[in-house]
Amino acid sequence: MTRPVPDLTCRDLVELVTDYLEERLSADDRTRFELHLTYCDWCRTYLKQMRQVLATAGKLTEASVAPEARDALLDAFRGWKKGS
Amino acid sequence: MIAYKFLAQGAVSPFTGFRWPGPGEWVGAPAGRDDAWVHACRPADLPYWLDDELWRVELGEPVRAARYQVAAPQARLVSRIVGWDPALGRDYARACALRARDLALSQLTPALRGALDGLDDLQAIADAVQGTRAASMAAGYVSDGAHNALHVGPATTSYIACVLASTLGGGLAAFEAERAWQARWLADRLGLE
Repeated sequence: MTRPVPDLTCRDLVELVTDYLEERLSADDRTRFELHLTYCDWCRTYLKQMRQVLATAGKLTEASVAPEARDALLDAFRGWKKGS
Repeated sequence: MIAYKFLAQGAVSPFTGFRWPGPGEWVGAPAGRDDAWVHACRPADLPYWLDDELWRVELGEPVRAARYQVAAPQARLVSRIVGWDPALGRDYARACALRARDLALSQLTPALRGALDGLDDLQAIADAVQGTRAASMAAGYVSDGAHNALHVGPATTSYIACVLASTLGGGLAAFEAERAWQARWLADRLGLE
């Protein structure tokens, strides 16, 4: 079925945002991504927040995480992979 | 080539946050990065990219044409088109909402069609279709168009009119035809060629 409009849904945009920020989208996909942003204030805010997260968290290294926090995160991810 | 570019307030690129230098200063993509060329609009592309400010830009050669935009390795701002301001944005949103009403008329019940035909007050249009939107997708778009023209802005309102056009039949071709109508409206009101 042909997509009726040259556009993404908000869900599509969330899935593609990392590739967009890392400049890995094709030209067509980037156009569709940005077309969506022109009229969707929610997604524009989301993109802005993602940029802020990257700007802040991107400066962190493994040594920046306290041992207790690292252990808690590892536990959480182990549990998540088990589906619990 | 002279083209056009919408920017956020303060001559800022709306997606990257890049702040453009004043008119006359060239901005270029990194060497070898044709995926990072500067994007701009032909008049027909304008409805797809609305934002706070509209600028006339000069693009350095070569210019690559694409669907809904053009791209070039470098560009510079020439002058701001001051005719694109909040007042014209409201006029445009209103025009798009009324187009949505007209597009939907044939899909509405005779009673609702009679109520809407010739009605050009946006709040009255929104009130008239309130309560019927669940029964009619077209009525829902008319309501959304009127509401967005009054309370949200031209980008969303114009998009709603295009989605309605595509939904009524014709898909992408109808969507683009509605964008073409909107481009003519903008070019006419802004004096663009």
